[in-house]
Amino acid sequence: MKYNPKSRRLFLCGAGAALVLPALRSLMPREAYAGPETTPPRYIQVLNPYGPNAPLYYGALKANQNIEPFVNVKALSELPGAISPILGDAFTPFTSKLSVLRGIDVLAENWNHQYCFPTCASSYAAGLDNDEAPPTSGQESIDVMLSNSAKVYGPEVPAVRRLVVLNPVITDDYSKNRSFSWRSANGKLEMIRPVKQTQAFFDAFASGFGGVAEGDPRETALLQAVYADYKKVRDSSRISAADKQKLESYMSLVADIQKGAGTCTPAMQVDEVDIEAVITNQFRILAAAMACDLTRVASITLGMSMGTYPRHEQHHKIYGKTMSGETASELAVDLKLTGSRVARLLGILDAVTESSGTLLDNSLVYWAMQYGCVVIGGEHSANGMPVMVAGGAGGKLKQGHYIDFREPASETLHDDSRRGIPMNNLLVTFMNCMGLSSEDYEATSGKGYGSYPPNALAKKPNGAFWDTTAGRRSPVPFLYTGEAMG
Amino acid sequence: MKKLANVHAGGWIAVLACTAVSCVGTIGGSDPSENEGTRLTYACTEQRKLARGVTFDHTRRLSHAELVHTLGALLGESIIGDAEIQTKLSGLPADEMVIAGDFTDNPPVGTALALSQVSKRAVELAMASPTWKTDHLPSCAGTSPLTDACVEEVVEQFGGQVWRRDLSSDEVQSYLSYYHEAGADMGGLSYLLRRLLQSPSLVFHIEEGAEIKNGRIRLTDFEVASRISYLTQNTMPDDALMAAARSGELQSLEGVRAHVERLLAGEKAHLKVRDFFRYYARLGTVPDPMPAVGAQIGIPDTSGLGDEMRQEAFDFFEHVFWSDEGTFHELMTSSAAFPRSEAMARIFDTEVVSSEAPVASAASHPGLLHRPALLTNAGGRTSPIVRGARLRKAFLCDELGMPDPAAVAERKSEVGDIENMSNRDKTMKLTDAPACIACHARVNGIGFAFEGFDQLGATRSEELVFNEQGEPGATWPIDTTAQDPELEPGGPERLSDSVELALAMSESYKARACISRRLFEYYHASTVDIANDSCILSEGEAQSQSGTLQSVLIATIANEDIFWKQEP
Repeated sequence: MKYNPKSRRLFLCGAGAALVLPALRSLMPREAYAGPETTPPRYIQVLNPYGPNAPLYYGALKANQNIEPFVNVKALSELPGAISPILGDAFTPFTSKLSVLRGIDVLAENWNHQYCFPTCASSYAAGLDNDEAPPTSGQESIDVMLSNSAKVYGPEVPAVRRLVVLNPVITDDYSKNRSFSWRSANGKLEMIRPVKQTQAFFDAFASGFGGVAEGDPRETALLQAVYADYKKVRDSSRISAADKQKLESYMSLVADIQKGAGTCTPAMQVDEVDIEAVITNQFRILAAAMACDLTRVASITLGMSMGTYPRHEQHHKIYGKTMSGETASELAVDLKLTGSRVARLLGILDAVTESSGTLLDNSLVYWAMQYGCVVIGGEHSANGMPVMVAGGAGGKLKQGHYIDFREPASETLHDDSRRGIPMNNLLVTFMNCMGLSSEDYEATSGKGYGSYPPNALAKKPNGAFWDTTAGRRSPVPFLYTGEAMG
Repeated sequence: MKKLANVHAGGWIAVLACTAVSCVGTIGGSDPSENEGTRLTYACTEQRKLARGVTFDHTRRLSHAELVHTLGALLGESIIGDAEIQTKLSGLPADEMVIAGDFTDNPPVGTALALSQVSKRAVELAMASPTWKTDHLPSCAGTSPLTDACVEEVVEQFGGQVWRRDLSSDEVQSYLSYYHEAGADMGGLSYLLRRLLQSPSLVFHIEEGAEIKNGRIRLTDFEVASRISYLTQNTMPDDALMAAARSGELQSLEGVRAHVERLLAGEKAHLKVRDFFRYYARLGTVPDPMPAVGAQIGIPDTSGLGDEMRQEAFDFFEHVFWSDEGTFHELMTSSAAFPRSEAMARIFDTEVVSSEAPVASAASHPGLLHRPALLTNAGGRTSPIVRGARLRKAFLCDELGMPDPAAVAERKSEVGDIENMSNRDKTMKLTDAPACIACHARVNGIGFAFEGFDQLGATRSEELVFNEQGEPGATWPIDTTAQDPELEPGGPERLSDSVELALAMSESYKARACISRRLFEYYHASTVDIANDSCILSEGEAQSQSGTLQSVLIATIANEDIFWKQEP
């Protein structure tokens, strides 16, 4: 199938014929894709470089209801307007389908530049400074763990469709070619390189969307012959085990093409006249692929389009900055723009009707940032991670709330220094939502997920509990409404 | 080739003290003490000689550039230039070979489908062309009906190019059978070509080797030819190289070197060298300087100036590398400059180059280190720390960590407002704490030496500071001296300015070793593994000390390692 952004249409090119899809289909308010009859769980994580300050991310949010110790909430429906400067008006239509979390802390042993805080619940080892150093937990990031789980996918799903890793902001220099996804390869953890171009992303699902090799037996025979050529190389005694695996991975791509016509319809695309159009196209393809059950797990990095240096400099000066006025920061404006892009994703997901609710209702959308809310001199904070969780995960998440997990304020405790609950438990919550229990995510039984540096929990509220096996396996309170998974 | 991995070069790694409040980092490079007699960094011991080539331990995929060039060589420019094919190929990620770690083992997910679609479209165009078959296939292929003998000839010729080796008679017969199954004659030929264009050799560098010796596999002559061609030109071997493989010419290092030298003269080899420079000098996007800074020397508009500076740096490097056949000394000291606009000429304080005078002379800007592209920034002040750290990391191969943010914050709090100072005083004040100076002693001085150059990279006699709104503010006297810059053991104890620094760098064995190391990293898409790479690195380094830059590149490619890979 040819992806043709200029024509605003997608063509099915089977057996030499070009069939034009019905125009403007994707603009219908509730799009019905030919997806599965039951609704599988989906997980989408969205991350961006840098971090905000608390006033930018949380604005005037203040809990007004105590649920239990260290859990204070406020219904977002009580808000008169936008949630906060970053969570601006674009999120207002979704306030009943999202929650904003405060007091999620990564138990880090190193606060240098890194890409593992929000998705691995870990930093890399002390003494290093390398964005691409792997997490010291030694465990794959949550998205990779989900994509490899037999509880998320059946064995027939090829590797290339188990996890979508995107980074559509092609002009960015800092997060370019980077993601927050970490996989194990040859005994080491390595960062997964994202797909950036729409064409490449589309091609990964083109055969599932239908129309690559319909009808003509010679086309099928060709792909079988090509497959056999790779098999012959793979079976050579001179090829190492690792290389055989590499060849097999490629052969699965060839086999994928061979499957021929799919049954799903991809989303309508727009001309990629600017980065917003690129992002929209990729969000729409992702939504279509998820609606068609071609994939269930995605990781999206949304970079800053202004390049490394200007924004990096501002990142180190973000404390006390605002959206406008004398203390305005272009990074703050960019973070709001990133938020509006996330809201756009929610809108696209919410526009897809499924057998029960919308695609958003049946998904778990997790938006966090590279770092937590800054404190003075701590732009790489691992504490106070800005977290928004949208979608109901099929009814397992309580939405529509601001949830503050921090210890109480006091005269001797600066607001920036109030600690909350481990990021580890938030990711455990997400894995529970996707059907995984401790036997699936624990590298060592009883040790939970992510890293627990010595004494890291000593000063956390209720730290003694979070450090027990039961604590490490606990989903975060109030937010999670599903069954206990253990 | 081996998987990209961060492996320290071992040895001479001075790990700086990491206290609770400290700068964190390493000043690295390999250990010169291994070979003190020659001061060479890398030592090729007898034991290591026996393991040469084991660094190539896995099947690497073709990079984006390699795939595109190979398809172009097979199909011809008119077909590879087709808009639909270009769209398909441009959808595959461009590979950043080392620095961003983008060049991973597995092909991008879209490769299989892209090759399927490109081969289909390409063969459609080729078969419709009145001349393609006779230009790219044996002449018999232009006449229908095709004979089996002709198809065999097609497989031997075109299939041999695809697989980059001569095919066995069994393989030829297998392809002939497939041709018949696909309908024979021109229809069968189309499917045959499409199959060949999706072969594993277009996705991976397939090296099965000839014989196993002491845990290593000796490559076949065709595989050596393939390595030569991709290392030099990012494309498949040409006819001369294939003929050399058949004749046994590539079994000797002399034979390999002759073809490497021949191929380096080609346009694609020049493109690859150019891209190496981007990697070596870390030349990503160069920002446009602040307009007010430009206005100070009569440049009315600085938009687009960053791109011009970047182009000038490439022009300079290519001039030294190719036209001058220069050494590392010339790279660090040449007065050549390539201003192609009035604005750039003002920065260099020289004339715009033209076809009559293609090379300008800018004595004030000697060598690579004084390219405006490396000196400029978009801010209101120059940054000695950025300049110093860049030189150490890029051109001395030192590894520098970032300071502990908490320590920086504490230090900033201690020193208070230091904006109303000269760059030098500000930097010294900020970094004068014992925990910081361990790193900054090696960075600041080098940066101070460049204080004679402003935010455009133009010379200046005093420091003029601009605020964020671009308004000029305070001026400060300039001091470009650097005490004990610690370039390397035995290096200068004092520098009066960056010109002296450039001269010291031109004589630095460490800086020369660094460029040979960067050539290795880039051309072999690999970080350094000292246990396996010492011999190849030592040969490149030996050339870098006295030979031309071209000779360093030739040593990086044409060496004993090219004959071997590790046994699985």
